[in-house]
Parts: sequence; C-alpha cells; structure tokens
Amino acid sequence: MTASNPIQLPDPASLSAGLLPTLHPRFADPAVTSELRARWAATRRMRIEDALVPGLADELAEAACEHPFGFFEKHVSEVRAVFWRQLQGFPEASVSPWAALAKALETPSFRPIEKARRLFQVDLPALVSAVTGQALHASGGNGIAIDYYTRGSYLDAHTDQGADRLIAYVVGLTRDVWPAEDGGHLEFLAPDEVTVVDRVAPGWGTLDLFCIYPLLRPHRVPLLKRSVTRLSINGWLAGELKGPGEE
Amino acid sequence: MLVPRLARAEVVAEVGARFQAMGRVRIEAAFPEAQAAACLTALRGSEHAALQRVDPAAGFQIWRFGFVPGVGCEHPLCELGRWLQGDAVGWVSALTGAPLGAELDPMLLSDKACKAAFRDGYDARAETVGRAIGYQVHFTPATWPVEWGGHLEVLAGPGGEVIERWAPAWNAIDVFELRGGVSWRRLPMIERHVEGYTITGGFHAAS
Repeated sequence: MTASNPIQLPDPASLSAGLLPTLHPRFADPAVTSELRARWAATRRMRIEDALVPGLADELAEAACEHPFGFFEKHVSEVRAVFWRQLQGFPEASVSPWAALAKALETPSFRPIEKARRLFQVDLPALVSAVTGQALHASGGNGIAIDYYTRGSYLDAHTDQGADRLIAYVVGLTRDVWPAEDGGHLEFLAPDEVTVVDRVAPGWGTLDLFCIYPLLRPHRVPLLKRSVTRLSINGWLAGELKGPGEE
Repeated sequence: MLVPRLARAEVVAEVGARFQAMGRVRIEAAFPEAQAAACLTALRGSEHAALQRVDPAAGFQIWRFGFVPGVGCEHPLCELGRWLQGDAVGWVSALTGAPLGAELDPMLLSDKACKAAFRDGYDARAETVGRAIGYQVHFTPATWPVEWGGHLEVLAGPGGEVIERWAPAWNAIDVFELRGGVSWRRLPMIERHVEGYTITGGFHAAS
C-alpha cells in the first residue's frame, strides 16, 4: 500500500501550543491525548464527546440547514443506501477574486467553510494521527459530505474499504435522541454482517473514530423509522499502513 | 391477455358476486404465466425513480415508473397497458356491474416495492377524481410477512384503525370500488429487501 503523507505526526508540543483551533482546547493537555491513545489501542474504535471547539457544531449544523440536501441512493444490484446528502466544496485558492465573488452571488455561501476546511483537512487528521500513532491525512475530495437521515433512510452493511483509507470518522451534528429500536444508530457487525457487536447512538459535537483497515469491520445504519433529524459529517483518513514492529 | 378461464360467464359472475359482497375482489392467476413472467422481467429493467420530500412530514417515499403503451408495440408492458386501457374496461364493467369508460390518462404507473418505501394515510378516492373503479395489477414474485411492512392497509378513515390488509401477490389483479365505502389507505414502511411491482390505475364511469 502506498500513500502520500503530507501531514507529519504532530508532536505533543504542537498540540499543547493550541494549534488545533477547531477542536476542543482540552486536547492540548497531553494527559487527554494519552488517555485517548490508550483507549484507541484497546479497541480501535471510540467516541470522543465534545470534540469540537465550543460553538462549531452549532455553526456547522445551522449552515447545513441553510442549504438544500439532495436525495442519495446507492445501488449495488439493488438499493443499498437511501439518505440525503449535501456536498460543500472548499474554495479553490487559485480562483480569481472576481470569479469567487460571482460564484458567491449565485448561491449563498456555506459560512463556516474555512473552519470546516481547517477541521477536516488539518486539525482532525492531526489529532487522530496523535491518537492512533499513524501519519494520516484527509482522504477523498476537496470538500465535505454532510449526511441527513430521517424516516426511510438507511445504509446497509459495508466496510468502507477503499484506496488508502485507514480510519473512518463521523462528526455528529444530531440533537435529536431516540431509541435504537427506531433505527438510525450506527451498528458494528460481526463478519456474518448480521450479529450486532456494538451500537453507537447519533451524537452532538461528537467524534466517532473506527479502524477501516486492516480490521475491515462491517457496519451499517439500520432503517430509520422515525421522523427525526440525524445529521453528520463523515469521511476517511488515509495513510500508509505500518508493518509489524514499525514505529 | 387474461387466462381464458376468466372470460367465462360463470367465472365473471362468481368474481362479480365476491366484488359485490366486499366492494373489492382479488383475481389470482390472472394472466398466462409466461406473460406475467415477461412483465416482471420488463419491470425489473425499468428505472423506477424515487419520489419523496426532504421533509419527513410529507409522508411518502416511493419508487415509481410511468409508461405510455405504444400502439402495436410488442413490449410486454405495452401489451398489458393496451389491455388495461381496452378490453379490460368491458371485462371489469361486467364483473362490477358498473358501466365504465376507458381511463383518460394514457400513462400507466408502476410502483416498486423495496426497502424504505412507505406512504402515510391517503384517500384513494380523492387522488383518483372521477374514477369509479380502481385496480392494482401485482407482479410480486414472492410475498413476505406483514411484519416486514409493504402490505397495503385499508383504514377506517384518516388515522383510523386498519380494517384490512392487502398482501403483495404474484400475477393477480385487485379490483376495488371507488364510488363509496372506505377509501383511506396506508403503505407501512418496508423494512427488508424485497421485490415486487404493482401497476395502479382505474376506470371512469361511462358518460
């Protein structure tokens, strides 16, 4: 497996210097990241509560609600995913100021786009690199996918395997709370893709991390049978997988 | 188009008696098996588009395909459509006792049964203004338990109790009254991966 590695593993000094402005300031405390590292090593799957800097979850959720979501269906011989999705691209640095202005006049801008870029391209990879011990960088396109699930939405079992993806993340922007019986909770499955091993409720300001490779855990979001709003930003972090004994 | 048995006068009378008693009737094994299989194959190959709203209060999420039967076309769905808009009018008139005219809208609609499809309570009569008799033609190769959803419910009224459930069926026609009686329906959300198609329409009273 080969991968570009544009972001170096941050040393504790960079974290403590407060260089991750979109994440909660407590991550600057080495004891906090040390505790996260231990948790990750134990299960390769974890939820971090209050992960974002105060106020950022509100900004992201409010901005998402100001923009339209498109119906998203994924077919693999039959429909395997149904939900709503909004794509927000990061502005290109090479675009001229006039072109940027013209584009801004066409559609209302996603106000926290620069914070989102910082979060998903710099701060989140840096934090997760520190927690997992892997040098990671954002995977995929130059933007974010905001997913909205409501009644009739689901995502069938899959592993997220692809290219050089190592870690999946879910930034929770869901205020509603409902029981797992109504669907819409993230479920991790045994290899039979039926037995539920673990279940994670949608969260607000949460950061869920789980290993994609080499563990290849099947997971799904069961059919949501209730009129609630489940909002999240999902993505992957890529890197070069270390061999045994490599530090 | 129909199996020959269904054209016999005594069979029409027997089916008509059941219709008169219940306000609806299901006719099983309606078409020759090869024709039904050809329709299923054609429906499988037809792109059913999702109809829904981002607002969950809108109350529906269904996958639908509309088609207009071509004159002289030998496509199985065109043959079925021409029968529904032609000979079926007289046949349904005979078994319901209602003088009927052909449907005015040339487009036929197929709804696909699949996971996550649902439709909250609606008034079938209000949706089919002017129709006297409605029909559903079913091409569901294998039915499933009611707990999985997707069995059409007949409601006593808006938000009312379930009076009856119509299970998906293979090669069957439902004919039902739209001039009176209960007309509220609900499609409970389908919770599993299933496969089925229903072509829905109706007939106007002869003018």
